[in-house]
Amino acid sequence: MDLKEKRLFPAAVMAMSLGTMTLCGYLFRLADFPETNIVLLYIVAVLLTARFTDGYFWGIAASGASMFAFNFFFTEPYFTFKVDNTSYIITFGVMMLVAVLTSALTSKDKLHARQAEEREKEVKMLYQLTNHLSHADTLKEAGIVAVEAVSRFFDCKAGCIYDIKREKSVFHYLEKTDGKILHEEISLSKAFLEKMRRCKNGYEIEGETMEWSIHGREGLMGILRVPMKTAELFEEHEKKFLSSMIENISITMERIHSSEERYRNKELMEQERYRANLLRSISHDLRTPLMGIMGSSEMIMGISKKEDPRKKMAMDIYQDASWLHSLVENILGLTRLQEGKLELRKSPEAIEDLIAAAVRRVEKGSPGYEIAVEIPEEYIEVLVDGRLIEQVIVNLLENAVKHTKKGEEICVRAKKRSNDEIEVSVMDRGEGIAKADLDHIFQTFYTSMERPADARLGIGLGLVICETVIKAHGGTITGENRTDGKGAVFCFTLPLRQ
Amino acid sequence: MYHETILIIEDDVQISSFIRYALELEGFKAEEAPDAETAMKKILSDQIDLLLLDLGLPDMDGMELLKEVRKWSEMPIIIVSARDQDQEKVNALDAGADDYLTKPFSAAELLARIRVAVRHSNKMNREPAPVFLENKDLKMDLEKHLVYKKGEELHVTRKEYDLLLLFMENLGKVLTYGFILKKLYGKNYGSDTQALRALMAGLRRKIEDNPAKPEYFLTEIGIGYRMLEK
Repeated sequence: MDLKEKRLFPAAVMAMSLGTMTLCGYLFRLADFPETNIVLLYIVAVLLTARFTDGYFWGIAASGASMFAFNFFFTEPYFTFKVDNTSYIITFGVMMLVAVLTSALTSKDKLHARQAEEREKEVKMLYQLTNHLSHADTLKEAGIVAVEAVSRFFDCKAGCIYDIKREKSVFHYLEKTDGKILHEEISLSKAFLEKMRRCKNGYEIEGETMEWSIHGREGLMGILRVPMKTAELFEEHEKKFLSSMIENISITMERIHSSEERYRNKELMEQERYRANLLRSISHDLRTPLMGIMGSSEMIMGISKKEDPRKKMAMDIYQDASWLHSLVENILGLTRLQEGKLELRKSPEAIEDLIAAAVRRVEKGSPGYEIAVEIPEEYIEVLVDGRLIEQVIVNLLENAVKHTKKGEEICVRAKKRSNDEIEVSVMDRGEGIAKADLDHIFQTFYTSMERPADARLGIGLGLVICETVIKAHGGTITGENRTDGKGAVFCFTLPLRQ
Repeated sequence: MYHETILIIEDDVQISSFIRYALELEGFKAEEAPDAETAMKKILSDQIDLLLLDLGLPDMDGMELLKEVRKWSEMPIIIVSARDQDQEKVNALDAGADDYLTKPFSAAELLARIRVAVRHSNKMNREPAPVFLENKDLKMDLEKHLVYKKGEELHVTRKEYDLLLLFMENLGKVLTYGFILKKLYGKNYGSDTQALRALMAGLRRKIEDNPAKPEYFLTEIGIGYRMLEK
């Protein structure tokens, strides 16, 4: 129907204007008006045709038709295409020229006017779209605005997938149908997503719809869907306009992504802060009573005579409290590490300082154990977090103490392995590492199955902490049985300060 | 017998009582203050000879109190703080505290520190500067600038002598890296501790019988060094 109407209408316009002007011409002849007026009437007809029809064709056709009409109706011999007066040929020529020019100019003006009108419409639409998008706070809102705008402008059922992210496979889809927005879940095939990802500036045809990808800095963010019926009629400038709309939509989606990420980060920071505070308060709450217990029991030990059974009991209390205390420290240390919050505060330290401090601490806490120390003659420095490395050596020594009897040898040795590396080893002549444990000793919470029943078990965190700290410093740590007799040797390396 | 009165500035009642009991057992007189304001009042009104100051006080920062007291008093101040607060300890020591204790500490540690601080403060009130300084096998002749180990003369460089003198004059007290640098190299030296550590290593190798297991010099990671009284 549409196409047929498109052809009939201009023909009707031409016919009507020519017909009307011919009749007017006869009126003019009756009134004895000069002939030139009739020519001008036909020019008006051409003008009207050009004005009310599209393109150049009908205007020019009307020019030709009006020339012949003038010849037929108004030049002698009447009702023929012959002319008696040959000067009429010039009249015809000029008339034709004027008519063609007029029609051409009118058509051109009309074309420009129409283009300007369309552009104005587009600009208004774009402005409205940008305005609405700036109010969108979520991806869904942005999607709704997009769907509404595209549907309204192109008068079709547009659809939009608005939450595409790398890891997801199920998304949400909005479509404008019958005045309402439909919202449903949709899953897209990997192949389709890949295709859309590659299509950066334009569209892909997928069956009944044309799919336009909405790209952001980080990749594909969404897809705009236009039904094929509408899309295939798109002229070049309409495709360009849709691209502009999509640009705006993508900017908005990026903005929303950024602010969502910022919000998430803020939440994470809040969680972190809460967690850090919780840990700090727990540690404070646990440390204080433990300190009280350790202090009081130590004082009782101090004031009791050797034979007094209470001295031994106080010592047991002290050792249990001390063990609990280092357990608390280890748990807190590990939670901090596992959160990835290992803050290395590196500063240059002498390796002999670190070892001396660690040895002293362990000897104080385990009376009866003597630890041999070997350090190189030259003075060696490392760039490390002193506290943490001291703790590593302490953990290794305490492990050695746990597995050896009083009097059995424990030794810690520092040696320059090369110009880039220093090696620290803790060796003992104790019971060694059980074969079954060898592969697992650095695992979190791993404790050996082979302990005698009454021995203190420990929570299996010491070596995990050692490994995490050493790795964070760019070194390596190993633990194995000695090859030169019984006992175990734990070895770690640290890069040397350049 | 000790006559000194020690003010325990600690907000935790349990710890405060424990410290008080340990001090009184040793013969000291003890007073308690749960916050800086009360502490200040007591310092101004009562005869206080030594402060035990917890850095984590609720109202006024412990540091503020420390700085305030140091404006007009040289009385020994020992700060108490938690384990991971190295920077706070260094700041307090550099601001004039004499020594520090890390929670949890034993009664023995507490008394050892207090004894050193008290003796040091008493020594400062005595007039003539000593000619000789001794510590177990070490002896320093301050007039002739000589160092003896087990009776035999020990060759030390100028800087090593200065460092050893600093330790001997502050036996038992912790000296922060910053403090040592300032005394040895002057105020404008900066904070590069490498030269100091190398100097310590050299001195340790000369003085200690076993440099790997030092008897005289204690390293307190993150804080400084301490020469033990033997």
